[in-house]
Amino acid sequence: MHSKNKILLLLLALAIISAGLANSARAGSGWQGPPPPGTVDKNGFVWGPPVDMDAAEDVSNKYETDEDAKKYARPADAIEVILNSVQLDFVEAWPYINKDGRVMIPVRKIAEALQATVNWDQATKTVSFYRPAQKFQWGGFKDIERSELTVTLKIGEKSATVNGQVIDLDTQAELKNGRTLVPLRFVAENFNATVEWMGPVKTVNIDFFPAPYDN
Amino acid sequence: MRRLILLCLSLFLLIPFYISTARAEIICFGGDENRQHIVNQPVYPIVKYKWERNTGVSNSQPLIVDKSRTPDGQIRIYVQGGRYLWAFDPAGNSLWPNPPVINDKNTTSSYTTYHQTDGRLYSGTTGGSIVVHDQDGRQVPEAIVNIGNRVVSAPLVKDWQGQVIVIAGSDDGSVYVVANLTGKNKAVTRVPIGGVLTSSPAPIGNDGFIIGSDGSTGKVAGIYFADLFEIKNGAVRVKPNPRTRWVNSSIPAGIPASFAVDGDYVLFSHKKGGLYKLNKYNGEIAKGWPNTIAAYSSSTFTNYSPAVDDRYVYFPIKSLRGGNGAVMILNKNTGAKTAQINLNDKVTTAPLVLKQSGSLLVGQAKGWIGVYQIGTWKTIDAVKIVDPPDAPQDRRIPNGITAELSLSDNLLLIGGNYKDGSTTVGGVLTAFTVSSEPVDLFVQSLDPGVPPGQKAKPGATYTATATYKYREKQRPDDPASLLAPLPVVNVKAFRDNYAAVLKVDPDNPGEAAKTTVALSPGGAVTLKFRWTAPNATQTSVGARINMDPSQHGESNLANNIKSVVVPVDVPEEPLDLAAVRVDNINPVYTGNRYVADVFYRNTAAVSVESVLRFYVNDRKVGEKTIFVGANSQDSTQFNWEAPASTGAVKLKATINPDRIVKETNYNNNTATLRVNVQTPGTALCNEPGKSWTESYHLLVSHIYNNKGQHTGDESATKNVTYNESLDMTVTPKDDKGNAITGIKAGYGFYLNVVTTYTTDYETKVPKGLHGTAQAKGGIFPGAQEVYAIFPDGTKVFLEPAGSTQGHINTWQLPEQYRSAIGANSRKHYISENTPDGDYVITVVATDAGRNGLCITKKVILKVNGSMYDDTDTHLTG
Repeated sequence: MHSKNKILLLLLALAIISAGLANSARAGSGWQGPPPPGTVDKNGFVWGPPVDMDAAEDVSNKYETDEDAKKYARPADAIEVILNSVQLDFVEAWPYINKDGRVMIPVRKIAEALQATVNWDQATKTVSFYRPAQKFQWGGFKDIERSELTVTLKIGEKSATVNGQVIDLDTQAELKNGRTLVPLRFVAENFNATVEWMGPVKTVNIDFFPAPYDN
Repeated sequence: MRRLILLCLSLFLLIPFYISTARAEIICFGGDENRQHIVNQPVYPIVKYKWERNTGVSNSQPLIVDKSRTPDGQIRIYVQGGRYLWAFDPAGNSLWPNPPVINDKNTTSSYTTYHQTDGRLYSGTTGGSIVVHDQDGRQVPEAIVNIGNRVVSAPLVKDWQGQVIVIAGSDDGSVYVVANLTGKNKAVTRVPIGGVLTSSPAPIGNDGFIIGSDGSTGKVAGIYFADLFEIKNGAVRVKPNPRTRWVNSSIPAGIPASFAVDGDYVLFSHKKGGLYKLNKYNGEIAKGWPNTIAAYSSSTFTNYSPAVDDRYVYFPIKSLRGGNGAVMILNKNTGAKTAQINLNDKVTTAPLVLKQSGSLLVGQAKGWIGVYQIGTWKTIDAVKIVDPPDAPQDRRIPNGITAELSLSDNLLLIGGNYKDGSTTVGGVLTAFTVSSEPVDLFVQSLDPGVPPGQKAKPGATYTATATYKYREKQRPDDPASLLAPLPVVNVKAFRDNYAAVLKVDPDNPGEAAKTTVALSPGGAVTLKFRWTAPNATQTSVGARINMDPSQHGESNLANNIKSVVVPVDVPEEPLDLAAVRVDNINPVYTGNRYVADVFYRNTAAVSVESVLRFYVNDRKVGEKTIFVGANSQDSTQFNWEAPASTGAVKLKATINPDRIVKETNYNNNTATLRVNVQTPGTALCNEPGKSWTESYHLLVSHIYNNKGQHTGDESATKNVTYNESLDMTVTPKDDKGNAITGIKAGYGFYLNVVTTYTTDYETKVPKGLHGTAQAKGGIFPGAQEVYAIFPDGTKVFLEPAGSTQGHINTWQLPEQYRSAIGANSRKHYISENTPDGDYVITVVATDAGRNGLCITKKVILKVNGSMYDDTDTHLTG
């Protein structure tokens, strides 16, 4: 073989090797594994210790008990509620349609969904929702301004107050199996949510712009 | 006529639902974070190609964000493709002139998630980062975290305690959990579960998440945010000892596909076809699960996620036993297999359920989408193929639909890649328009050929004319062209010799004409057919179109048939209908449900349709339209409930009660039966003690002769009287096991019953010589059967529970007993409407001892007030 050919072959081999190296470099991002706990990386993330897998309860081959099945059994008449495209989660108390044809929902769940705080007065059996005034730019483009709001409902009464003004209702807040349930549409619409009933699929669709978290 | 009115009324009631405009976005892999793959909007599987865009190789599910949440107030489509994050409007226009580069490689391996709280897009990259973009395409500065070589699952983005938490799986065997990716205080930890993390995390409400790993075996872990993070002075940080709440390592194969979250459970499959349902709070396997019916063979492979609706869970099996794909449909509550759809190719997407049209879409290899009718599980052949007709030839058949089917706002978006030889070289995003109305085929008119008001002549032949139509779109905002022509529509005409209503079934011998035509929206076809008038007082002719619900996806089949009754000019024959008799078991128990048989007869030479009405104590409880052939007898059944009080009850059946059919004799139209109503306790036994006599033979003495030789023995028979008795205590108890004497209406109680059997049997065996008499042996049992009767007549057999000591047995309501939906096991709830007063529980123990002793005891609970009177209420909902 001529020396020129040998050089060409050598160059070709070098080219192939370097191309392979380049490809393998591209194949990974150079990840060296997670940094040690306590590290603050260049983007300001504080790395904590990894999660201890051995501290978990081992439920391998464990089957659900009757008690659990009862606790988590969704009643046949339960209504699905979708908040901003995500189905809400319920345990032990589920939304349902009451005798007035209104969807009732557990208090804590709707308050959480609407970013309201909630208070219960045992003496008067009154539940109160509160939201401070809000002004924010949602998603970086939509200006939203909401005034301070207090909504109260008394168990068994077909009326409510919205910032002190009495409003007549066609249904009432109620206690069911020890849980407080309130009319979903009334509460949600007062808190600037849009409520839609999808009858054929027995589902309530709630559309709501939440205020951003302050952190 | 009444049926027609009901039909019209039901259609009128249904129409508002069809025109509903429910918003349902596609915000992440699987539709939403529960990844149920369900479309709740009123859409029907009638699709028309709209556009396609070259995005580069894409394995990412397109997102469809509602117009109320976008800067320009228009629906937006976001999708990862090639190295970019693309944004399109519904017309397919690219909204970002310079799509942001989010990957340093040519392909995507993750899915973008849209987060409603901040309106931002969270993407995992092949470079091993999570990055965040605003909807204007700008990357949020410093909102980037490196978590491995490659992000391999769709990020789950949750709000917890005022923090935005992002969870994503990496190819280094860990799931990373990041707090405040876009905020001020940022913290990150990881869950080193091992294996590959292609399964996307599933939420446990807003409190945590579940992850699954794909290794040689599968592992599922439940993790709560409160176990990972703590907030101090407003800043979030990882706890010193973050932990996993539970781990289930008993999944025999890896989990490459994501979970579908259904209420309190997650549903998933392992890659060898095992189908699972786990309680998402504690990781326990649900009762009746797993189902291993698909896992016959190690060559079965599944790596796509299930869909779940309110009845079924749909598991896609990519390759069943090494062959084509299949969809296993299981009852989501019991885990039992309901159906199996065998596909023509391998599965390449999760199934998508169109809830309102009751259909199922499944992406398959070579770019096809199969559409199936839920319930019949048949293929809806008219809309089976989705293959863009206007696409360039070299891209006509994508090499598989490579992501998930996204459907919202009448848009069906599908990502697909195409190959050059064996190399994937590009990808397209294809959009289809989906109809918001179902196909409606109907019989528009039917002329029997006999002028109105005239009678047909027996034996004469007439020509009837039927017109069949494909309804045009009713909504002006939807172009009529959306509905594609139906290539095969069966139209039929029928003649029927029965008296009034046309009976049509596929094997009806009265079929007079049939043809197959192609119909376009608004199109119609007319069919003429000949029929001969019978020698009967009347006949009917009819026409129908497409009565098979599996064809063409019709949701309204009621207007697919039309019939006309034609009177025939023959002398009317005398008619006589008779109610022959009513049969029912006798006696019956208060409050129980029964089925009565009613026999009826038609003595005329022609068939007759009439009404049969059923009464209990002259109160109507049921009515049926019956059809009685000529000179024949038949029977039907009615359900009824015995009254709460004892005594006699009269069951009555009347045929032709309104005398619509003219008869010669109405006196035999009613049959009655009297049955006795008893309380279940009427015949309760009460024989708690009894005596009996046993005879024993014993040797009294030996007899000797005078030589002292033993010549015989003297024996005797002695009778001994023995006694036995059965006693029982009945104690209602509360949840804590305390005995109770009162209860509120709406609450429940447990029953603790102790039966005690005592006997002196064999304690008095007479004693003679040489060990005589011998004991007879044997042990008599305690109570063999115990049951409780509640005031509503319900009889429940108790089962042994707890300790058994000798003949003392403890009994409780059975473990399987639940007196109401969701009630505790072994607990009997009384109605919330129970009035104040005595609630009497009767308990009977039977078949004890030698003589079958039995004992009955009644205990009384004082009902005082109801559950709604409680003051101990709280806001735990």
